[in-house]
Amino acid sequence: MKAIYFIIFLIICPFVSFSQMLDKRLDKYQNTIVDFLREQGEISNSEKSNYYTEFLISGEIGNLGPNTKVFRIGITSTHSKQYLGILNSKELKLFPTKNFDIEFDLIFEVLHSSKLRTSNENLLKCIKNIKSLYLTEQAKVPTVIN
Amino acid sequence: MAKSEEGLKQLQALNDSSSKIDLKIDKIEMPNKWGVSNTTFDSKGTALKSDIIIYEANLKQFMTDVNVSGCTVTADLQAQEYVKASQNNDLDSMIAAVAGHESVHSTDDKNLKQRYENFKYNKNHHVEAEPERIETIILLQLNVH
Repeated sequence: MKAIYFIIFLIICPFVSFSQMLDKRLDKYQNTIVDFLREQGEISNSEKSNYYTEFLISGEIGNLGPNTKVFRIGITSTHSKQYLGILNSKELKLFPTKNFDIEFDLIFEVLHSSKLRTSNENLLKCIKNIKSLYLTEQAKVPTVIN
Repeated sequence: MAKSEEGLKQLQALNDSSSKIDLKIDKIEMPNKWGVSNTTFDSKGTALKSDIIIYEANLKQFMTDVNVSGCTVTADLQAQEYVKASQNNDLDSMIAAVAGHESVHSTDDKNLKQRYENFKYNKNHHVEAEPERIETIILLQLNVH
């Protein structure tokens, strides 16, 4: 009987809509991301961290080899901004995404210390995407009225 | 919200929405944020649920700033209407207007789709125009009374 239920589950599974907005590779950093967003003034203290985890969202903007991925990370809240995150084999590094000129040194440092396995063309494309993210987001203040 | 024609329309939209929407008023201070809508989407960008949160303490602070410190009237119509509501100590109208704004973000299919694309694919859709328009209409309708 259990086998029948399992087969039915497998059949209907592809048709059920799941909410997974955050890249699976970032799952274990959910609390880190929520704490970071709280520090940035993006989310309030009135809700517990696990309330916000289901609203986390990400998009990959750079694949710099098997150990290093670059993401745009944020929360699907209106009037919020997106942040740069670099995931390597050791950690997820999140950036305030406020000032490209200032933060680029740190971004470079993190990329330099990561074991990149990618083409020059791919690396340049990723840096272009990072710059583009800053151009869109650095002017935003998370605490804009409405 | 129900005291204005546009607010009533937004309440109806919230009621008719195919996704689950909760509306709550939070008394905690949230620096300069008056309201938000937190939404979960499925992988196709369809909204599954939204939480609309109005930050009442911030609206009260704005009223205090207007009534105690005074306020320069700006050219912006919506700002003028918020000043007017504050001078009338009409917190309900301000809450209704912010709720109407967030309602558009949470119920309008086009706005939801564009919000998802902005988040997920770094698009630059201007998602604030319609919510701002509805917010101003609600204020104008309520400030007349």
